[in-house]
Amino acid sequence: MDTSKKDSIDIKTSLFITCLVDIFFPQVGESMVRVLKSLGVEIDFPEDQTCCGQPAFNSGFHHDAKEVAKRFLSVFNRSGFIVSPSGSCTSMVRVFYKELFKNEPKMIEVLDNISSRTYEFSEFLVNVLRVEDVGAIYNGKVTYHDSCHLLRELRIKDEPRKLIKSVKGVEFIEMNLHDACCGFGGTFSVKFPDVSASILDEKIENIVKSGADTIVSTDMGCLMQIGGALSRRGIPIKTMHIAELLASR
Amino acid sequence: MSGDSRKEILRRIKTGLRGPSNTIEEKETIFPPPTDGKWIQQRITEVRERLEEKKWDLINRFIDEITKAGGRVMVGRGEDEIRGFITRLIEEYNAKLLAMWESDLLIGLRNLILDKSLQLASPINKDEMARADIGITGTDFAIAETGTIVLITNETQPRSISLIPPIHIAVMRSNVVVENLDELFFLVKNRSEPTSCMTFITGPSRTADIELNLTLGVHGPKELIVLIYP
Amino acid sequence: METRRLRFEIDSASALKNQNLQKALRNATDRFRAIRERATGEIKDWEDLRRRAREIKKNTIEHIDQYLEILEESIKKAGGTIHWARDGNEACSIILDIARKNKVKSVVKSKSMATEEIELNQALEGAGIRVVETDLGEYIVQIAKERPSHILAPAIHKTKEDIARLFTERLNTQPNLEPEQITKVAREKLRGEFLSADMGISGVNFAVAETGTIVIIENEGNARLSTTIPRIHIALMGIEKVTPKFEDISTFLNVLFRSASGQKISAYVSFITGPKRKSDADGPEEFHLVIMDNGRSEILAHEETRETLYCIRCGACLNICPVYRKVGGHSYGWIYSGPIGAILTPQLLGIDKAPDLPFASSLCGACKDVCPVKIDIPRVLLELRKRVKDSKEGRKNTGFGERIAVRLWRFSMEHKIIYSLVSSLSYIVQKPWLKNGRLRSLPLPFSRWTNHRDFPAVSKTPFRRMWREIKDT
Repeated sequence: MDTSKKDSIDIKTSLFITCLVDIFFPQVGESMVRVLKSLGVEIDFPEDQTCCGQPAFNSGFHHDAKEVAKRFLSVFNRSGFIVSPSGSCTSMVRVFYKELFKNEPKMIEVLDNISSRTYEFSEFLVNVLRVEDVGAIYNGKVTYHDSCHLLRELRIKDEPRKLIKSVKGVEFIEMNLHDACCGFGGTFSVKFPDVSASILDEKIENIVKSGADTIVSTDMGCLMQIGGALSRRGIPIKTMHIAELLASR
Repeated sequence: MSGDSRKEILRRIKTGLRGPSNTIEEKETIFPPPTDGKWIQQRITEVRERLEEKKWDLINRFIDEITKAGGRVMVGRGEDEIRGFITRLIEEYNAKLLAMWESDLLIGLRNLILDKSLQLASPINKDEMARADIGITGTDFAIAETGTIVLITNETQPRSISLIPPIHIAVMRSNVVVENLDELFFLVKNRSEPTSCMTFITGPSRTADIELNLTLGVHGPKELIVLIYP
Repeated sequence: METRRLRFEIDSASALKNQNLQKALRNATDRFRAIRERATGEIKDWEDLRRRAREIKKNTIEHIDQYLEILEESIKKAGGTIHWARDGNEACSIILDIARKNKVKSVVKSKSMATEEIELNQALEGAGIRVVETDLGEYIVQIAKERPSHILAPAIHKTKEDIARLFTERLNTQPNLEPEQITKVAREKLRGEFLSADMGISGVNFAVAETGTIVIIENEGNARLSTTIPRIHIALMGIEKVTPKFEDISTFLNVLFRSASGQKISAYVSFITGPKRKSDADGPEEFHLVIMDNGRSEILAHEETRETLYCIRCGACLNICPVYRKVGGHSYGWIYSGPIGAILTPQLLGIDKAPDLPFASSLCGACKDVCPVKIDIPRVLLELRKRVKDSKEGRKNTGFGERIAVRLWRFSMEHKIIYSLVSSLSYIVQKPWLKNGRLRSLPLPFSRWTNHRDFPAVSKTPFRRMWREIKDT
């Protein structure tokens, strides 16, 4: 255990920041940097990165998605670990790139190489760095929303919970149907907005019922959806990316 | 017309699965020849012996499960006691017209019934069957894990007796119980006589089609009573 | 057959507004989920069973032509008659021919999705034959002149008050009947139908090739009655229902009920092999099995989506689906609904008839986790989305705006300078709509978001600029 811990810190780690965090939520990226640095991880940010291609892939435009994905692969080709503040974008790289490039056997090696080094943030902390307590302090009742892709594509369920529960001052509350979708689904949220909003209604209902004052998740897609409804209705529950919670002192 | 369709459908499937060249594997490779008979006989004996050993554990499990499924169970020490149960049930339900299988056990019962000036419905006559108050059958197999009785149709065991009357009484020997579905399928598959119909029955007829509320006795029997004896 | 182009967004709008339906759906899916979870949790080798079930289906589908031929031989040996139908029309005319030849006046039907698929009732009624659905849920839907909204519980969209009202209106019963009373009325009405019917029509859950046995699963007893009392029994199956061996059924039964209704087994499972034997006292004199393609061989031809045919119609994916829970079965426009409907309907009817359905999912993946044969529904959805966009019809149906948006997106993602420029420009452009750091009402197309929730503001300093400041701290 100890050796793996030391090794992993020595390997250079690249931030795969995701377009959503870059443009809308830079503070999430900043928090991630703070947490990783405090653990002694050497990080870099390949500045040529843009998007992983998921929006086009999920909308059926595989050709367009592929071109953007190829850019991603070349940008991160020389990276050590690749860490992202999103279960969904990590799934795209680790799970769905295989689908996207399935007719291109030449790509398999590149893909395997990159996907075996790509991690979602909470997964990276717990399973690679072997850290559960990052020394964060936060006073509040926290509930956790399972991001669908993190949970069902990457099978990460306990890692974020361990991290949250280790934060000093946190009272963790599991909400009803914590693993039910929030209705975001990328372009689904605007393709069928009424259905998406109706699914969201129930999520909000469960968050409120939990009695928590803070809702934490690993994906800004979900939090944008959930937070958008909370602020629209003036419900004083805070949305927080797990990196922000872990950077709290 | 159907001949053309047959050819056309099979052609579409073959092309769809294997492309126009359509190389077919030998049938044996997809369907291995039956395992040799001696092995099967040995395995049947093994299963039978194991079942005999834990017979009463299995019976208890069976009783548990079928009760959960809404069935009623009575255990008797022998044929006489079972006949006694049946007589009492006939009185309890105030039955006048009965339908039953023609097994040895039940033949004894027939005389009893005729003595009491009860009537027997003929399974060939569906209108008579529709008026029958109770249907009495035997049980060919029972499955402990699911609480299921298995009835196999043949010339003395018509299918409608367990189906049309509102009350179904099934008489069951303790040695017909198997542990689970896998064992049942193994044993049934290796029986010699083929049947037109085998039926699994687990509790009375039920529906949950209205707001998922459970209601018993929608089309089949409202009550299932299993009488077990050694 | 349905030729209208299905429009999920329009069809789902009324469902979302129907409070009664919302209540019924929520109640039903909650209960279904809970019982499924309990039933699958109880069994220790659940994952193993799922793997076994999938393996059997996979092997079967890969050699399905051979298994169908074996099935045909076995059924003939048992004294049954086999018919092959290329499509729904042919299946209907085969069944009509048998009915006419035998001067059939009335038919009792047990629940069958395949017969719904080909609109058999309309075909028979058109020929002056009386058709009665005998499954209670199907019966309710039939007298309401609707379509089933759930594979398993056809009338799940109705509350018990809805059904009581319907019975009073159409069958002149007392008002405000309770479920037990409704069930009793149905039992009495349908008893007469069973006794007088000349023909029974059923579906097929599984058809065993080696023995020529069809397996029918039910709880009510109506399928047993339909296949026992009338003189003729016709069973209709899609080609994918065949399975090689008798013992395969054990595996399927083990996964099916737990997934479907949370039972260990249903009240009745019938194994029918041909017509009654000469010495049997009862049972049908004629047994016909109609094997129907109706678009399935086309599904087989696409390796990427072939696993759609593994489906054993348990309904678990409907019950767990967040979208189905809100929109109900009818929004999917055809008889198959929920996640399985979203992948099956476009493949059976043609992608041009239902181009919206593959998109009617948030891709949350809950469906694949409950599927007893492990169909990777999200992956199939994604593949079908691609097929929609790649096809001529799909391109026609894709709005000009969407195509331009994707082009622009790709262009900016491929050029970092443009990407940064768009991000900076958005920061400036958003200002008129900005309120307390959030965007509350944006013009089209963004209003599709802001009609329901706030949109986050574009940040003044994107992370890439922030990075330059924090990287060395």
